[in-house]
Amino acid sequence: MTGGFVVSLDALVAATLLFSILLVSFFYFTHIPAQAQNTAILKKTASDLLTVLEKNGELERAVQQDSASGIENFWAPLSSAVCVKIMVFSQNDFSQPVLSATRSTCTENFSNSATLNRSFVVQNGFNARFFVARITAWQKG
Amino acid sequence: MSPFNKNNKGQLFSTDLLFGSTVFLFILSLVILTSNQFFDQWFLWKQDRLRNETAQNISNALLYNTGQPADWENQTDLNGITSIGLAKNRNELATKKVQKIGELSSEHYDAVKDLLAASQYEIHVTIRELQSGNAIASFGQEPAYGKPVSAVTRIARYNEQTALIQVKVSEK
Repeated sequence: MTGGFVVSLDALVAATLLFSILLVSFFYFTHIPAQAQNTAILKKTASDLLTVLEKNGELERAVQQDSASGIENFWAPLSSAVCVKIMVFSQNDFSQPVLSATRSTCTENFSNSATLNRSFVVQNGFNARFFVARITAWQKG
Repeated sequence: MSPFNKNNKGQLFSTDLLFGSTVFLFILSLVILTSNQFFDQWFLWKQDRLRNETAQNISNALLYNTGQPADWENQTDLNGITSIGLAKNRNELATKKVQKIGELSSEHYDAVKDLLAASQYEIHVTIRELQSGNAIASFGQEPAYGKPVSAVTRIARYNEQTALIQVKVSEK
């Protein structure tokens, strides 16, 4: 006599497969888009900071005074979770920044960041010099 | 020999069947429980993601767009306004638009939410001076206690000052 098994080995394999698919899709749906969303937020933060620094004239002032203290004062009241580093390069030399500043409470230790570049002009009488500001934003770990 | 011989053993409630049924029911309940948990989590995650996206979209609309028509703040009512934006330039808010949205949202809050594509949520926007943290303007409805909230903070210029614009989107 052969015993009738309602649950066979096939069913167990199928159930395991179903669990695996559920787990993998759950991980995919929650983890990967969340990281993409974080990157998008960091990009927005970097873009906002760069735009406002430019509109405020802080970038131009920093180059003219050869000091990033105005920029540091500008971002001091921001949430401590936001970390930012700015480097300003002369148009002809991207090897060495003419000035650089990082938020005082932050260390450059990140897995996820957003970097944006923007060129701006520093007017000195009839002379116009071009610079590129590179801003990197990340969340404090 | 007749198949209906009284001496044949009945197979319906055999040990195999009982064991098989137990294992089957155990796995079935496990599948149902896990699926329920999965779909609950997935629903919460999706709800969260949609709310976060709405908050992001509202902040973009307010900071980057002038609205449609661009001088919507001069209209006496909402007729003819197809979208609302507070910008006079990118990341630069127009004082008159901020005042007007405050007036409109106190009188026609639901219509303002519709124009910001957030009719299924509650929204609250606060503009604060960056350096002092003082609130300069706000509109909308504060989130109810205990409701899930998505908040986005953006930076812009307002009235020749740097301001933080906080957009809160909460479930109804």
